[in-house]
Amino acid sequence: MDKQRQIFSGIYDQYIEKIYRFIFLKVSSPEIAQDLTSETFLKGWEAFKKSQNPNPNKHKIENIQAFLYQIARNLLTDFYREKGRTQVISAENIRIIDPTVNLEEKAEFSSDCEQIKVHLADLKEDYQEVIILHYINDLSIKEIAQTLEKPEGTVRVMLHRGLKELKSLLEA
Amino acid sequence: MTEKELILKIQGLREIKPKKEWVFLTKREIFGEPEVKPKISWLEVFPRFFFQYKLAFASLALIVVVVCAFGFSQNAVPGDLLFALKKATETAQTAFISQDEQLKNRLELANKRLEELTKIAEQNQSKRLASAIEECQASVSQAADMAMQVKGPQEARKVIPEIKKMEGNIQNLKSYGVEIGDTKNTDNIYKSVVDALLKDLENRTLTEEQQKLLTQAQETYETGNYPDTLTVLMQIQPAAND
Repeated sequence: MDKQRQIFSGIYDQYIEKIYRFIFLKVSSPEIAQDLTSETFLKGWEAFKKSQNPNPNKHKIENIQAFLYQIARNLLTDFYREKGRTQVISAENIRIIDPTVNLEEKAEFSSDCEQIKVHLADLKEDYQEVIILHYINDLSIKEIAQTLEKPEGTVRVMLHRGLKELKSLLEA
Repeated sequence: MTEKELILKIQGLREIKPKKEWVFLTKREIFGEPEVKPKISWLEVFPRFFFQYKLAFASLALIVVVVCAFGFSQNAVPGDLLFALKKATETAQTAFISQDEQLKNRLELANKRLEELTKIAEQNQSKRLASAIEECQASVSQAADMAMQVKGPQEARKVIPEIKKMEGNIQNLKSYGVEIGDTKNTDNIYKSVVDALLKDLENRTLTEEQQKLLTQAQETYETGNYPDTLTVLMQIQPAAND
């Protein structure tokens, strides 16, 4: 048990920021992002413990990163379904900078980034996700394909189209 | 705006990070209260361990030292560092010996000192010779004092072997050219024993032959030759029921 805890503790340290960022960029609320991120890791920990069980019938987690993103995506889907909200949030209503970030960090957060954040939220969900995962959270095309359970070619196309749409929104 | 510039701007969103306190607290909530295992380095453990068992180690070391010292001291001769310990041990042992055995014990100790002196003389350890002679003189003197208090013929007979042994040791020393000095003490030992034996035999019924030996002993006694007197007396074996 201690060994499992130790392993998952390392996983937590490695992915907490990325999962939080992924969720925050989609919900634009630090409180909701915190709740959903906590739940993601809680579910991840429970599943991880079960997967470490020597029972051969139990499903083994092959890719913990993809697994955590999948939990986060499912929680986001549930969140929007329950609240009857749309994932497309207008630029006027969102808070671009995480208010929990200190003032100095806020100052450093450029207006360009604010614009990107605003228009990123206007993109289609699929484009939004691939851009966040690839350019912000540093996942490779292959990793994104595994996470989203889509072919790598599709991911590349989505990434290309997403960037193109974001660019046009920024230049509009 | 080029694609590269756009990507750089997107990557600026990496600045979005959760609060460190929240990250820490969430981790604790997920895993529950972790079992706190104090991290103790060997540098911390060793002094604690050392001081905790310091007394035990010190006691053990002391016991080992005492036992070793005691063992080595038994072979010590006058002039050795451990000789004092040997004497102290002998003194302590004397306290546990009955009154009837005290003279015998004193004579045994005197013989030990004589044997040690012989050993020193054999090895020609001239530096130790003086102290060894002093030890012998003191020991024989103590035996002489004890002999004056001899209570009866039985006690006297018991110490005859030690007296004879002493005589042999003194003769042996003479062969190395060593004298323990004044013979007054040794004479007193003989005299005390002989007195006790003569007094006993004079009150006994003896055979004609035993009577002759007693007369011979009395005559020798008159000359002051107590060792020879004792030799004669040892030939008289009075009946046990007398």
